[in-house]
Amino acid sequence: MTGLALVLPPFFLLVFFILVPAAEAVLDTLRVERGGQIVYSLVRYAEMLRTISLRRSVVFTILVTLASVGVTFALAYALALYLRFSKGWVSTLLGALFIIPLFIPTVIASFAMVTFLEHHGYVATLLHTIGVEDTPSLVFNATGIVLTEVWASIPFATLVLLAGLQGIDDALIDSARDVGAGALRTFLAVVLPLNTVATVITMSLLFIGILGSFTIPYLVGGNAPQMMSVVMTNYFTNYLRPDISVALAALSFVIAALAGAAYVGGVSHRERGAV
Amino acid sequence: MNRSWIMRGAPGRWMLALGFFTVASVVLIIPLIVGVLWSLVDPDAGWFPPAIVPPSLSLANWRAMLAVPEIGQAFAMSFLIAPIVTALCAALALPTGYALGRRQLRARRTIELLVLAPIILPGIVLATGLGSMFIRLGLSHTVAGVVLVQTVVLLPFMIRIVAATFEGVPQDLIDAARNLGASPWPLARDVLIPLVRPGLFAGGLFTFIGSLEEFVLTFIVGMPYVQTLPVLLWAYLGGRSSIFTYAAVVTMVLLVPTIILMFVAERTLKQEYLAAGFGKV
Repeated sequence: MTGLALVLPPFFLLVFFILVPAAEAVLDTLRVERGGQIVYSLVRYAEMLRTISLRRSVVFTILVTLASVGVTFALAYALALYLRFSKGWVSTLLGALFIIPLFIPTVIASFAMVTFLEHHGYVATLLHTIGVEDTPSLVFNATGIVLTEVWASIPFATLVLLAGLQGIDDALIDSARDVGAGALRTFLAVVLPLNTVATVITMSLLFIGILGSFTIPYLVGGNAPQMMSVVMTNYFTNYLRPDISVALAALSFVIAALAGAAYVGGVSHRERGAV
Repeated sequence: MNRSWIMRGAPGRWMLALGFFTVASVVLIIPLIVGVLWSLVDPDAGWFPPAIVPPSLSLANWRAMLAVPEIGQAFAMSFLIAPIVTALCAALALPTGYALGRRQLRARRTIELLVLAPIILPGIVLATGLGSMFIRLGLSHTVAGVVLVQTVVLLPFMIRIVAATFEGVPQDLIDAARNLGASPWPLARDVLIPLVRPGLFAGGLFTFIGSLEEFVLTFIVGMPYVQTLPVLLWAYLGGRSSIFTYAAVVTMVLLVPTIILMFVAERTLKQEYLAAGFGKV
């Protein structure tokens, strides 16, 4: 029982300041006044789903999130493989470099990306000096959001994937090579399956984090379509419709919870001793 | 040598390494250097394409920004809130991390899911719910309110990292201390806490930086009286206008302490407590 007592202070803090307010906010979206009486109804959700801009925002959010997760995952996996299986000063230096974005506040990262990728930004200027006149717009659109999200998420994804790769016994890789497997075959048949748990954890946490991110899409995204978090804030503060804002947030929570379930599943999979 | 199975032959390996290194440094470092340059642009000369570097550098933006009292106040506010949040998270996470890492708890899964909640819930749900609650409790627009909200959202990371560290402590050491007659408090002070110090340090660092960076909830709970550096940066970039040169100065003011912390953290991060923390629920 003392074990439980040790857990109680954060437990109450989280229940009181996270679960209760969140449940209250969602319940509020269901309460509607009809003829002087409060009834529960889904009218706000119906209104939300009827609004074209909101529907478009939901689709846009999911697509941008999936694209960001995909690109981050591919790059982070390559980086983690390189750091795991290569020795030397380049590897050591890269090992120190890739951590940097973890320490850069997202407001700063977004600002840096805007100055860097803008229409007349640094990349465009550099390309201009080597004779490329027309640079496509890299920022204030989906491309900008994906690039900045990837930049900001790489350290976290690499850390988790690398931790998973460190747990793979060298002997297994050597034995795969001894029976004649090439690099690709070894990767697909040995490394990838053994690293499933780290993969699930990385992907689900990336998905949740990017889906709910606000600062990057607000600063680097365009005017339309916008990510759900930006639309929520607009509805909340500018359009003075907090009810729609919270309804949208509840929808975003349901989407995130699906990824959360994958995460919890992945972790318990490991606890059962599968890896 | 047999570890380099992924690449065959020396030239290919060098090309790959060089390619990786070039891409990584361009992608990671150059946006930040461009940011530094923006903070040093001479306001009389400006910086317009196709110039690769500003035509002339000056400290005018720095002088202008440092003359504004709000940047000093925001700096003080950020560095007042961050240590308090870190200390609170550490105090709350130590016992919980111990219970999750070393005890058999029946409600374990529920507690672990609850710890995950602040990460899964979108910030706006928290903000709207907490907003009205904080107004009722009189916590809106106060430093205490901002400290509380940051503690709540940063606590999960701290708990996970500390719990993962506790799991790694050998039971033999605890048993030995108990056999030698250590009661719970000396056991915690002389054995457990020194053994989990690296994890506590990694978690504390993460929390400290998280507090310095936290924007959305600080903005909603603290506005307009509690202004931290990200909130101020927001004002220069998102809200009123987009004054790149001033924003670049605020960026550097916020960036220098985090870079220093990064060098301090170098050793701790190598031990992968952070990764271990994320890997556990």
